[in-house]
Amino acid sequence: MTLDDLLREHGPALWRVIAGYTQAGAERDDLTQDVLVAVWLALPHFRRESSARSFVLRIAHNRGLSHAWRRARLPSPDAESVEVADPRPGADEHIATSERAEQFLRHLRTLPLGQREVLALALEGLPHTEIAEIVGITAENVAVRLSRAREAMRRSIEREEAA
Amino acid sequence: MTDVEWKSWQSTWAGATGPLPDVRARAQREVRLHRLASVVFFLLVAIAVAASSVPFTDRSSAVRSIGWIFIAFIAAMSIGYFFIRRGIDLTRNGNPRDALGFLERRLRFERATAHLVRWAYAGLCVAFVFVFPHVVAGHSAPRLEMAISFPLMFVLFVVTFSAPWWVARRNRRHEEEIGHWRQWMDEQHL
Repeated sequence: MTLDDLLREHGPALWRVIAGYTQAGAERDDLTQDVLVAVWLALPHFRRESSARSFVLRIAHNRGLSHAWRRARLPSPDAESVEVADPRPGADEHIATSERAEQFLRHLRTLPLGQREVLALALEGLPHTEIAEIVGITAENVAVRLSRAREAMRRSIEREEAA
Repeated sequence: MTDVEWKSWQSTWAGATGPLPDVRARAQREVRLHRLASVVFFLLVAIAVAASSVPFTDRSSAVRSIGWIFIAFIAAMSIGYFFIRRGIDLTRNGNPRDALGFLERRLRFERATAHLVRWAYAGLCVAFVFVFPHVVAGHSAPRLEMAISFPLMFVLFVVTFSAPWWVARRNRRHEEEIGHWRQWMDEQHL
C-alpha cells in the first residue's frame, strides 16, 4: 500500500480529524504536514494488525494531541481566536463553500480534547471498538465520552443560535 | 439525541474537506537526515575502535587494560545509543499519554540507578580502603600512593553516595512539569 492509495481512500477523513484540532490557516497546514510526514515514515512499519483507516487516524489523533499539548505551552491563551488567512489559490472559495462545516468544526474545537477526539471519530462512522483502539480507552469509556461530547456540542450550537 | 440530528451532524462533518499538501520532499529530507546521523555515528565508532587497537601493541598489561576499558566504553555507548533510538522510535507517533508514561518511567529508572550507584560505589570504596594498603605495601612509596588515592576515593564516595540527592534535585523540575501536564490532561478529559 502506497501513500497515494492511503490518501485517496482516507485523505478526507484525515483532513477532518486534523481540522478538529486546529483552525484554518498556517497552523492547520503545519499539523497536516506533520501528520502526513508521520504517516509516510510509519507506512513501511504498517503490519495490517489494524485497518488502514485506524492506522492513519491513530497517527492523526496522536499528532493532533501532541500539537494541542505543545500549543498549551505557548504564552498566548487567545491564539485560537486569531484568524490567519489561507494563502493558497482557491482557498477562499473552498472555505466559503464549506462555511457550515467550518462553523461545525469551530463548535467541535470548543470541546475538551478527550471528548473532541471521540466525537470526531464517531462522526467519521467508526464503531466504538475501533475508536477505543485508536484512542487507547475501553469501548464503555468511549460511549460515556461520546454521550458527554454530543451534549456539550449541542449546547454550544444552541448557545450560538440563541445569540 | 435523535438519529435525524446525528445524521445531520454527520452530513455536515462529511462536507468538511480540504487540500492535503504533498510532503514527500520533506519526508525524504527527514529520512536522509536520520541516515546521515547513523552513518556519522558508525564512522565515529569505527575511528574509536581503530584508535583503541593502539594500546594492544604495547607489552605492558596496564596499557593493554586501558585498551580494554576503551573498548568497553565504546560498546556501552553503542548499546546505549541503540536503546535510546529504539525508545525514540517507539514513541515517535505516540500521544502525550505515552510521552508522560515514558518520562515517568525514565525518572523512576534514574532514581533506581542513583540508589544502585550509591551502594555499589560505597561497597567499592570500603573494599578499596581495606585492599589498597596491601596492594601498595611492596611499592617504593606506598604512603605517597595512598596520599594520592585515598582523597580521590573519598571524592568519588561523596559524589556517588549523594547521587540520589542530586538526581532528585535535578528531576524536581521534570516532576513539576509532569504534574503540570497531568493537570492539563485532566482538564481536557484525556
